Amino acid sequence: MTEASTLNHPISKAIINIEKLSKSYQRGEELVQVLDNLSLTVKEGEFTALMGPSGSGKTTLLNLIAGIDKAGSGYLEVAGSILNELNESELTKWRARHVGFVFQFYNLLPVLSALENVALPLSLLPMSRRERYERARFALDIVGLGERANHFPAQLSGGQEQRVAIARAVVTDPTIIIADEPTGDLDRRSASEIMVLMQRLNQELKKTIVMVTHDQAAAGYAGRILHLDKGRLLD
Amino acid sequence: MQEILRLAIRNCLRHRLRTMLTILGITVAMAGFVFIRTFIEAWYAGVKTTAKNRLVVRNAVSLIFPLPISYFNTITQVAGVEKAGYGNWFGGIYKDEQYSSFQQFAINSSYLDLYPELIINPLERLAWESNRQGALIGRQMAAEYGFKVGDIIQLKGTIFPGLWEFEVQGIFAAKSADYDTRLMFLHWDYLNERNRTEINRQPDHVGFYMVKVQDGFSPAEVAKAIDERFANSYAETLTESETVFVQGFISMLATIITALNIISIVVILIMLLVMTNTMLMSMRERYVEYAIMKSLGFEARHLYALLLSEALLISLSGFGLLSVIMAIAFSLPPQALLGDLAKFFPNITLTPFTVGAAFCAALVVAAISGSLPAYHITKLRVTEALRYIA
Repeated sequence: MTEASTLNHPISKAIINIEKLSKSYQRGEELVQVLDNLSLTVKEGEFTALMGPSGSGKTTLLNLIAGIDKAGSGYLEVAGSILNELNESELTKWRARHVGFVFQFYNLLPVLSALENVALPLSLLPMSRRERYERARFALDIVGLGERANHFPAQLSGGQEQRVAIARAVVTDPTIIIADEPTGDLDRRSASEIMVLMQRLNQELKKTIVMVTHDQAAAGYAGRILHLDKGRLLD
Repeated sequence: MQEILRLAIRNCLRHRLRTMLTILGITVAMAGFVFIRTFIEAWYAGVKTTAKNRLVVRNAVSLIFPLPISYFNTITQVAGVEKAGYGNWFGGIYKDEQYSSFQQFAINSSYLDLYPELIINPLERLAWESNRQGALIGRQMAAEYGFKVGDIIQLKGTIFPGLWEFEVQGIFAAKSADYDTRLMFLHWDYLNERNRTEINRQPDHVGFYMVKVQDGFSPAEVAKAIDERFANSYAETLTESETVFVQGFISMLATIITALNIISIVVILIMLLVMTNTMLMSMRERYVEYAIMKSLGFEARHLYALLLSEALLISLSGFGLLSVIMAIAFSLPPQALLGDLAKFFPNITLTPFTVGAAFCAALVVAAISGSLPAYHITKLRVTEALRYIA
């Protein structure tokens, strides 16, 4: 893995440093510009909400920051690594170390209990089974689901599933949490509970969070709101 | 790895009916494979009981043409011949059977000396030698028909017409379980005597000579020497090892055996298709889960391990079920397992080779059916998979 410090490019103290990032893809005959010379800096411990209309490029930007997509051009440094220079295998290892994911549809593995789902990413780290499950139980306690550790996703409500997903995202103590529409599939009350939880993660555990949302109320919990349109930041 | 295995087990149990049907499909296919291989091996079982230093001398034109009895002395004088004997296929029918389920050979006494693998009580042999209508019968034949020493066996001759009566003088066994002892030895002298007086079907002729080659002599050289002795005679000989002779019989069924071999391969291919279809269906259903696992940091090797574990669990479960069925099936007497077919395969057994071949087939099927979706998944881009689900 290539760390930023080994390169000539100036090292940023920011946890996310994006300069002139562009991304396009071919749709039939047409070349669609999803991100257009976008530059952005996110400091450690910031809670940033990305907003914008459909097709504005916010999810693409989130995917690039999370290391699950490749940029066309530009500079993309996250958690000390220049992601453009990492191959697929290095990116996978990098994600395991630095990124926690929260998806709109929770995406828990249905055959695993809440506890096993949370412990799953820990199986990639060198620790005993007992240690893994202790940490997973602790993460479930943080999100208030300690008592439902042995429940399977089908036995949980949407809000509870999303809490488990958040526990899974934080259990490895990642550098950054990526959340893609975390309240998009929840009712107002559950959405509010989830956002309070996200805010607590940011304020009490000092987690850097980048969240994509259409929901103005959800964005209100973030410390910083960025608007995208046609692949560019408006603010 | 422990977590991967746990996940693989849970995934297999997710669609229990589908998994059970797949396991059953694999079990049925493997059972077909095992039975076909077992039949093929049973056909070749006779070859195992042959000896390389035993030669069969027969008429060069065809086995159905006999050789003069006068050849016997000439054959015994060929350098390298330790012992020799002769015999005729009798071809009698017992009672109202449509075909004989035991073989009968009219032989001379020295013929038995060529088969040290047969366990014959010396006193019973002596009794047989002193009774021209005496018969020695194999243990399997005695057990099947309930014959004992002193019983009279009446046969209806087909090659040598008429009613023939023989008295059981002894019951012999074989050292090897592969040896088919549904066998009856009669006196060639008695056969020849009645043939000369009542039937007149080439008396003073034998169907074949058996020769034991002396240690230090090449069986091929001795065979060549025997045939040279009778070259340009009215009944030229063809001498070959007992193994080649028996294989010659099996080769008459070569087309059937080839067809069975092809079917056994087709069965494995069907098993592969069933398994691969199941694995691909599972993969498509779990696109998003694999994408999530990739996003969490699971690498290609983890996903390969997961899918291969699932395929192995299903495939080896099929093999396990097959083992139980086979253990029960082959613990039954051949008659119960094969019905009338048991007469043709009295010593049918499940060999370690066949079991090993089935196990290897299960492993290969698991490896291929697990690798195909695993390869596809490792090439899958997380963003595409997430979009696919959404």
